[in-house]
Order: sequence, then structure tokens, then C-alpha cells
Amino acid sequence: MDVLNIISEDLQSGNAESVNQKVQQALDEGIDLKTILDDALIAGMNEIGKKFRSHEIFLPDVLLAARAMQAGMDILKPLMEESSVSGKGKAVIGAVKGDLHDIGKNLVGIMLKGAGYEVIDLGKDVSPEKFAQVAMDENARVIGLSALLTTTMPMMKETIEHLRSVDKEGKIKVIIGGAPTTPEFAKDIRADAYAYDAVSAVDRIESLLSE
Amino acid sequence: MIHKVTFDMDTILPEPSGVLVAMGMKTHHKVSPRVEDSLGVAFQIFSEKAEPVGIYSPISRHEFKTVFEGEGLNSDESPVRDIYLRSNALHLYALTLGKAIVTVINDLNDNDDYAVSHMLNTIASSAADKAAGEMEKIIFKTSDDRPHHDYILGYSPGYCGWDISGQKKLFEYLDPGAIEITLNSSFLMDPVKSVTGVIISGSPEIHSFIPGYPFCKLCKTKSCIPRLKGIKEQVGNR
Repeated sequence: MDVLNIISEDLQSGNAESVNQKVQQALDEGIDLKTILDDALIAGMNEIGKKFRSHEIFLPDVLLAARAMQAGMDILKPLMEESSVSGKGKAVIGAVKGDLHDIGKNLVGIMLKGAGYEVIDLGKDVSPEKFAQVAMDENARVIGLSALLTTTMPMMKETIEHLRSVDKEGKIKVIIGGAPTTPEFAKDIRADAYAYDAVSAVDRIESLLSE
Repeated sequence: MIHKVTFDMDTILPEPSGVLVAMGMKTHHKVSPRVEDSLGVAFQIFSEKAEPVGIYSPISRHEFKTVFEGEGLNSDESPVRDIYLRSNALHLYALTLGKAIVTVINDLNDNDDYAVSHMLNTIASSAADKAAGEMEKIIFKTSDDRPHHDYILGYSPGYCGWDISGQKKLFEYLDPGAIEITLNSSFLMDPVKSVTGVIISGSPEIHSFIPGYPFCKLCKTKSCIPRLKGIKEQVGNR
């Protein structure tokens, strides 16, 4: 098995230490970092996504794999910053104003990082103005809004309305998620997409940004 | 009068298998050694860092009306209103697992230890819920003057039509600052692993309602369902 496959396998089994070492080994062998990123790390996370969707594995395994992914990225990221290799762009995520629940939002951030996005996590209780400001300043491609309380769902609408008033060309896409939200609600508030869970959030964002 | 309680760790710790189920794992799924190790680490951290404490105080129906009406943002219809108006006794309570546990959860996540962070978060959420259940038991035991067949259940701002802004008046009455819980401008608590609410004592029947309110459609927890089942059993046993 070549080193790229070993990295992918180790990532899938959540062996962070080995992924870190093998990524360095791959670089030492002269494999370019884009190949390591795409064919080992992201490929491994894609497999994890597939296994999660087919219920072969569950969230704890996904999180261990995501940690292993980051262990590999710890080696690659400084090199990516020095070279012209870029990821898939920036995603701004946060729980809307009035909501302090961040488990789902954190999972989306982890999975987006695993898929190669740069994630700007604004945390919890984030105002519409802050979402829009950071996304515009950072030239983000997508904003992910999270809410767990039914009482904070209207704040998703307010956030989208504010963003649309600032981002008049509609360059920044918005995806929403969280326990009380539904695809119908996403449509009602003019979100671009709805995600049921963190893995589907990555899928939806990938298809949204390829449109 | 405000009473302070410290919760015994054994009474609030969830079952390890329950934590994994809460994280979406199927009960029959084989747990990998890495997952098992991470869960062990999460439980160890919880035992070391959680500082579960609470306060409670009796409150009259008249006083509770002011707390419940809060900032005037409740739903037009709320089962909590119907229930408290028929109660025999009311107690406000607040409890927290402390700041340290939340700090560790965030630090683990920031350091990419997602699995342990998420497991610890799940353990803490479950423990906070169990502590709220313990609070109900404590109040049940200490309320000597209640009718013997009274049934006790807790209700919290943010649920069942009681708007989250109700926290403001609840905090004014109870002062959970005494156990280092603070409220921000969005009426959310810090530390986040804290619970507040009212514990309502009355005949089992008063707690029963049909979850067909407009806000019920959006509620994903549906935690009222097992509670209502418990009430039905209680009524059946009498």
C-alpha cells in the first residue's frame, strides 16, 4: 500500500499520530502537498462521510477521523500558506443571536475543515450584523447559520435579510440547520440550503458552490 | 428563603452507553477501542471538573405570575400558565455544572480533540438534565406541607410557550449569581451547562396537557411525551 492510501486508512481509523507522521513522510518522499491533501486526507474524509451515511460508523468515529485529518493539516497548512495551493474557500459559521447551543455548529465546522474549507467560527449568540460583516470582509463563500431553539429561528430570517441587504450581488450563500429547522423553513426565509446534519451540510455546500 | 444544594456526582452521571446513543450511535453497534478510550477520558474529565450546585426557593402563585409573565413575550397559550394556576406549591430553581467544565469542552474543541470534546459536552448536557431531576426529588422530599399525592415536575423558560426572556424576572427573584450563573442580553446563561425553571407541585392531572400548541410543531425534543406518560401511570396507580 502506498503512503497516500496508508494516510487515508489511518485517518479513517482515527489514528491522528500516524497521520501526522505519514503526511511528513509523504512530503519527504517528494509527493506534492495538493496530492496529499486531495488523495489522502480529503479522500479519507470522503470515505468517512460515505460510511457515516450508510450507518457503518457513527459520530464518535467521524470525530476521531476529523482529529486525524487536522493532525495531517498541521503539517500541510503552513506549507499551503507559503505556496499557491488553496483550499475550497472560506465558510463563516455560527449560532444565531439568542442561541447558545453550539454542538451542531461545531460539528459542521469540523466536517467543513475536513472537506478542505477554511472555517471562521463566530461562536454563539452572533448578531446578523457580525455574520454579514465578517463574511464580506473575509470574502467568504458561504455562511452556516445554526439554531437549536424555536425561539431563535426568527433570528435566522433576520440574519439572511440583513446579509441580502449588504451582499446585493448574492455572492455569499446561506445554509441553515439545527434541530427545529426544516427544508420548508429554509425556503420560507430564503436560505439557499438546509442541512439535516453535519455530513449533509458539507454535501449541500459542495453542490451549492458548484452551481 | 433560598436553599443551596450540592449534587452527588453519582446521581447525575449518565450511563456511558447512553452518551453514545445520545451521539447517534445504535445500541448494538460495536464500539471501537479508540471510541471507548475517548469516552473514558471524557468521563474522567467530567468527574474532575464538574461542580454541580443549585439553589431553590419557594415562591407564591402571585409572585410567580410576575416571573412567568416576564417581558410579556410568552405565547398566547401556554400549558405552563394553565398548570401553575392549579398548583399547590411552586419553587424556582437554578443549577449549574460550573464554568470549568465548559472551559474544558471549548479548549478540547479548539485543540482539535473533537471526539472527547463532544462526548464531554454530551455527558454534561445529560448530567445537567439529571441534576434538574434530582432537584425535583429534593423539593419533593423537603415539601412537608404538600398533599401526599402531589406530583412534581419542572418547567423552564424557552419551552412550552414560556418565552426565554422569562429568565430575566426569574433571575431577579432567585439571584443565581450566588452560584455564579449570569444572564446575557439575549437571556442566555453563562455557564451554558446551567438549568433554571419552576418546579410545580400539584395533583398529577394538572400537569397533563395535549401537546397540540402551535409551538409544539417546531419542538424537536418532545420531552413532554415521556413526562406525560409518567403522569398517566401516576394517575393510574392511585
